[in-house]
Amino acid sequence: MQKTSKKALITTLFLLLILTIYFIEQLPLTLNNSSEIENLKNNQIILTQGKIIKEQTFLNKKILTLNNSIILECECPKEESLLNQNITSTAILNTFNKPSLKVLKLTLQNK
Amino acid sequence: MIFEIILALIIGILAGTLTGLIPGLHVNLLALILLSLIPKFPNLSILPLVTFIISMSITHTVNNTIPAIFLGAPEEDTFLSILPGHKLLLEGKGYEAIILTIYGSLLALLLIIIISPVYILILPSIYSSIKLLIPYILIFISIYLILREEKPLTSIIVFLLAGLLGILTFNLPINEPLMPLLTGLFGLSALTISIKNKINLPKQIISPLNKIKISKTEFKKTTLAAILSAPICSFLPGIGAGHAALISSETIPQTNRSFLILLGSLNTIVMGLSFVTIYSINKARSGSAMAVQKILESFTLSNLIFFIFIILISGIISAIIAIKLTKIFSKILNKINYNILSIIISIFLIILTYIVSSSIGILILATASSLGIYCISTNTRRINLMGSLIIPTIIFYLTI
Repeated sequence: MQKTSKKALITTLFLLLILTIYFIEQLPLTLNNSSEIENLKNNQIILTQGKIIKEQTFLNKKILTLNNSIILECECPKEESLLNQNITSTAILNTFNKPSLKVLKLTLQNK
Repeated sequence: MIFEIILALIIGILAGTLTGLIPGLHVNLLALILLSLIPKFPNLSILPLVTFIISMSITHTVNNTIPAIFLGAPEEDTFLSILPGHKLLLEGKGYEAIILTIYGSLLALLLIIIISPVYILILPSIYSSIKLLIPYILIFISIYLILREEKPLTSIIVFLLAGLLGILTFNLPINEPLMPLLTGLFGLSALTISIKNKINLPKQIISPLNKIKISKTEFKKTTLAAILSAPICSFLPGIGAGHAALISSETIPQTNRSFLILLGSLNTIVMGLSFVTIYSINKARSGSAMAVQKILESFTLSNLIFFIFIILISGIISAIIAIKLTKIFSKILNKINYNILSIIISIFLIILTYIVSSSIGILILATASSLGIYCISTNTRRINLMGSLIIPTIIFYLTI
């Protein structure tokens, strides 16, 4: 049993390493419009770009609607308006309850 | 309308039996698919639809221990039943193990009626404080779990590695993440050890129901444990029957048999109370409850009484069906070589994981299985593998 446990522990550590690398190195999928969200899985990292046509503040979040109808949830500074800005964003999909895209990184294209 | 409701009840029980027996087919998923289809059938009445969802969900909780114990293919609410269940299966008492969980579900029906009024009265005022307390309760239970082990160091390793695996699993883009995780940790690992050790399953004894009994002390302990833990684990997302079983069994020690009754009852109570939660605090913690909440425009007290009645009826009928099915499956099991069956089940679980959760699912399944094997081969209690759910839940509640 001792031999088995050693082998099992080494295999576990090795596989956990592979999973961690996979987790860190996930390549984002490009999302062009909101209808494509339905085909994605929970936790999928996506890359999207567009012009912000609507900006709402909700609690400590900003809800940003892009011109391709993609809606992003961003914990960005409330003071700075992003309206009419062209942005590129990396976001993560959360499918619990209602699908939402949480911004991980947001860059202004015209800066 | 009455005819429609009865029909919905029957179809719900049949659908719940099916989802309970087929590993990987979760009732929450079916409820949400049904919800998405409703706009296409505008003439459907609300009450039969809700009756269907509730009866399907309750029936599911009565039947889902059958594949968990016989095949080692668990869900998030039944994985702990594998531990004592598999032990009894190897003693030729697999039938008895499942019957005990069915007894638990029947006990749950009674407890739902008793708990619901208190739950409705108290829940709105304690909801926020319990939500804040949950991570600390779980941290305390985890430390207690590790410290009472004979080999605390190995226990810490198992608990933390399981936690890391849980964190990774819940943050990867994967369908039904719990399936490969729990199947690997609790199912495939034990099957692999069985195959390696060429374990032969003894003839499964089908005892008459009046011979499957527990002592009064065991019954009292189980009931008390269920009453204490089920309500606090029935309204928060990410907390379920598994957490409730851990909290209650660590605070009120259980025997293998009473633990099976406890699990059966928690499984059904948590599902039943998730519908009561909608009425009490207007929050849905399961996919089925969410579907019911979205279908109903307003949730009245008379709705609630009607739904508890549906829970009772479907629970009783599904228990009768589950007992019959367990008998049939036990007879089938007696005709098959367990070693060959273990190999077939293992291949089935791997294929099912690939279909449901794709190649990442296979990677998680392999990792979880080897961690499960490590746990078994070091003689560490497999409850430490609960770190896979406990650690992500603690992080979730500490960071929201």
